[in-house]
Amino acid sequence: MSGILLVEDDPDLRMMLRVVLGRIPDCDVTGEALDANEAIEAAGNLKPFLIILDHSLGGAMTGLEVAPMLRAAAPNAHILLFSAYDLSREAAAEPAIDGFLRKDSVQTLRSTIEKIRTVV
Amino acid sequence: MNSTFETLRIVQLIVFGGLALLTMLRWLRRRGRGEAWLAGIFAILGGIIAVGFFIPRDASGTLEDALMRKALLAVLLFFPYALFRFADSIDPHRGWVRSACTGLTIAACLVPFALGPLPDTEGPRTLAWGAYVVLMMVQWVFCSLAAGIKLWRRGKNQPTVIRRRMRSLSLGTFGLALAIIVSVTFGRPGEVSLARIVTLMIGVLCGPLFVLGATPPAWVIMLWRRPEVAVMREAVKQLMGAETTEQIANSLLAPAVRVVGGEKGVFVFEGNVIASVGVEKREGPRTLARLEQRVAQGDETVLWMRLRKGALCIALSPCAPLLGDREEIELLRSTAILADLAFERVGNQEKERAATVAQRDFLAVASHDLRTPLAVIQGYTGLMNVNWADIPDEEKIRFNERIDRQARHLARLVDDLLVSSRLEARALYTQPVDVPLLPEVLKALEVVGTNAATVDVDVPESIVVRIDPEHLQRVLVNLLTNALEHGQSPVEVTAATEGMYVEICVRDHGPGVSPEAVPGLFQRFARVGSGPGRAPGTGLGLYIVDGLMREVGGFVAYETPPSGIGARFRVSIPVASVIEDSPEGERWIAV
Repeated sequence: MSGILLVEDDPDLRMMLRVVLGRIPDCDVTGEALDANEAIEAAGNLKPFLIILDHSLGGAMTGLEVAPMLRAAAPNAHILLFSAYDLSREAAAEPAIDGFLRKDSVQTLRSTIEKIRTVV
Repeated sequence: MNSTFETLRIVQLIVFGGLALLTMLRWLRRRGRGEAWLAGIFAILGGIIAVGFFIPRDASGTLEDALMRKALLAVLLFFPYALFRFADSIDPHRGWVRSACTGLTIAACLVPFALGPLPDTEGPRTLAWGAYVVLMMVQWVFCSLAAGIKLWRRGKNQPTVIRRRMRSLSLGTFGLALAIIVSVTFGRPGEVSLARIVTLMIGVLCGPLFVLGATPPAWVIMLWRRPEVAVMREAVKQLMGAETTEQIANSLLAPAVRVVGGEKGVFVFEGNVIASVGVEKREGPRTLARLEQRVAQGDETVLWMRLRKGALCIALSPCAPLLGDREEIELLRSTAILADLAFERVGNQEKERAATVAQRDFLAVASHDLRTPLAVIQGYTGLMNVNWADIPDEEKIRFNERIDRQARHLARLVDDLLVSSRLEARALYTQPVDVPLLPEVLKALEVVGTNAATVDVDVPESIVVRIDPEHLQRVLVNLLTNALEHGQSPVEVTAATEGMYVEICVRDHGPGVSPEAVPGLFQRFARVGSGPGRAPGTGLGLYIVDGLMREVGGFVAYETPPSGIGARFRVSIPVASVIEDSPEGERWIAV
């Protein structure tokens, strides 16, 4: 179990996350997915320790909806919901999700990942 | 005893003569079918009593006298029969009852003409005349009972005024039948006996009952109508508290059906049945169609009351047109006006709710779409702030390019949000001038990052439009962005003058817009698809194009090209000369 799976359909955002995560120790991005189906498949294959999951995915499902399926595919992965919407309450109510980060607070990505690692 | 008898005869004459006059006056005033029936019925009774009072009681023995008396007898026997037919017109009797009444009446009218001379009122009756008197009693009692029972029963569940009128008529009819039985059973020809006085007294007492049934005074009607007024008062209370159109319809319909003596009713709103009484709601449209057909055929037992919004359609009981009072309908009409006010109130509330939802959607979409580019900018700037020295120069340049792209995207979003808010508030500033179209098209191509080499442009240089150049740019950029982002090449821009308009078409060769998405294409936040998988963008571009076009007196339309491939947006802008020559030009321009 290693690496991070990025589930984000915006290419600029995905690229930025990859660059930012590349500067954090032990946070190499090992997989990327653009929608729910790709994400479930990648989670099952890669068994990442962290999945950064966008809420507004391309396709019919939202991040909140796909989270339990990702948890089933990779039971040991931590899931961080990443959205421009304020979904902290919804994320807290979903057992499959371990943390929430709003997109305009991306500068706190490092501390959020560390917190998830410590708490979970 | 004689003086009592004579006094009662005078009272009887006054009561029934008065009743005949009152019913005829009511008929002259109202001219209704029910009024005509009752005037006819009581004219027969009053007329016979008057004639009987004034002609000598002793037969003169002449042929004319005998014929006249027999004819009067036949007319008298038409009274219970006419009452029977009146009740029958409200609700038909069974076939055998109708046959029996008709047969007995014909027999009772014709038999005297076959029996020879009338017996002397002072002398004994022959056996044949004795048998005839029994036949006459049977006819009277049978017709009266059939009419009285029908009126009594049919009065059930009717509005109070109709019910009490029917029951008064019914009791009067029973009373007269009793009087006939007493007279025939206990009366002796030629004697002023107690039986004849009792007969007269019963007859006199029936008079007020007939008055109440046939021509109830206004104050009595007001007293009787109190329950219906209370029902309407309650309906008004319900209407005031109703929060949906369905609640308004239900608050009004059930009391309305009760007040006017309806059997079933439907409430129609914007072409749909939204409430029904006496029929299943899903049967409503079929019931409505049948009722509409009856109205078209002139059926007066259907009440069709049109409100400013919606309509009430009520199938009345057959009693209502004959014995109902227009006051009930007026009472309903005055309450229905309040329903119109309630509809208006609910409509305003719904608009306010829709505005709140739109505002909420706006905030959600705006915050989401603004935060996404912001996240990219923050991510790269944060990274460079902390690791500036470690990042190679070529990466810094790449990061900077992305920051720049996202900043421009952000600027466009903010701009779109501001313009759409101004359009919504009708507070857009415009400064129309004559603008040559081709340079503006080329400028727009540059803004969206392309040029005439990748987009086919066919715009004559001579075309000049009168519009705020900033708004024209916004329209062109939005349409080109859509074509390049959501469609497929080749993208074409064409323009031509068509009458009073310059028509600019932007066409791509992509999948086009799905037919179900077309109606909402120009609405705020409209995006093809729904949920998180919908097309990217703010959903404001086409809304802004549509709004700006309206501001300049033009319009935008979506068309599927004849080949069925791609999407085509046609913008029609009034040509410059039209605006200048138009007397309303100032109004169009001064937004």
